[in-house]
Amino acid sequence: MDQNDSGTSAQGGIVLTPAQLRSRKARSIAIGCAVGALVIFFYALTIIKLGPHALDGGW
Amino acid sequence: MSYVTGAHIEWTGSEATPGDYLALLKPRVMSLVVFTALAGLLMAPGPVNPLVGFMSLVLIAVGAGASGALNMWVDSDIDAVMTRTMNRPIPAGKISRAQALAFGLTLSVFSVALLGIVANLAAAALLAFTIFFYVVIYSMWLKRLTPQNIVIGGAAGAFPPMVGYVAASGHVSLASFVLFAIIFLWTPPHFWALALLKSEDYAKAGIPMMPNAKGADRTRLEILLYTLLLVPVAIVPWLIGAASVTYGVIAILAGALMLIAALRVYKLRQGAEADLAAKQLFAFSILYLSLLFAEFIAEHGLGLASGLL
Repeated sequence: MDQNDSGTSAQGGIVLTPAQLRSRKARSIAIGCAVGALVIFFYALTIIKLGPHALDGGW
Repeated sequence: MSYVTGAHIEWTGSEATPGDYLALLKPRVMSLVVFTALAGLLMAPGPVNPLVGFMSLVLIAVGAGASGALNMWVDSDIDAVMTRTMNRPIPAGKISRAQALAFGLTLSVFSVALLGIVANLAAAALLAFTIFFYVVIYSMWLKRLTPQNIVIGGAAGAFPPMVGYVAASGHVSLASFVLFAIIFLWTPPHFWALALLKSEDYAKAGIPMMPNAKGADRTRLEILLYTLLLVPVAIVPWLIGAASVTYGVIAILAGALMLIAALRVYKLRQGAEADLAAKQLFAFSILYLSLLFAEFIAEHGLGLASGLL
């Protein structure tokens, strides 16, 4: 896709510079890690709060 | 980054890295918060699930980081003119004010809500109040209004050990108030020693820091007065049985050195000697607080305090 002076392509879409692409990838990885950490966090929290005998009383 | 031109928003892309967002959280302040909150957590009576304790510490640190991001959102104008802060992500043009605001608010809500689930509602409420106090009362209101700004800001920095204590126990105690008081009284001598060296920077930004609002002599006197209050208060945990004799001895010896450093700042008022004395006080004040809390953490973490070694 060709990029003009204002940073948009001939089709009107946005074209990121190589530096912007690199930083976006780094941000995406960081967000992925944060979401992964939250999954572990909530899993551990659920186990702690419910405890291993959570279902002992039946449904 | 986006900016508004006329009636539409034009997107020009962002080169902000995860490191820039981390810088918004003031990681050095976060590490200090973890350190002091851990002391409060360990001091609390009764057993605490280690995982709950760890999660609480993480959430308190994230809450502190969120307030740091919101502080940078508020202070971006003055950060841009001070040499110490002009490379922060907002004045450096890496992150917009709106992005910092969104980041700070999101983390604030997350940290407070999760601390309420992980620990208890009292700890969550205290963390929310700490963020509110730092951002609204200190950053937005009193920082630009009064030369006592650092004293008030010190209260925000002093809350984390109390939050840690409440997270573990569900209530406050005299000992947790004493930890609050130690950091509260430590903050003015620590920051005013730095302000004596950077007074031109603060004057340029229009912040009424004590040296440029009331003069260097008044600052030196107040440094000495706050240190005279700080040193005996730092010994109180030992006197009320919340810390061991070892802590008491360290608090007395390090307190004496802190007092000597403050006296030197009070006496030496001209030239390179005066600057050196202020630098030494600034550096030693960090070591002083670190020593007190490290000893506190060590003895409570190892369960030595009960034996009053």
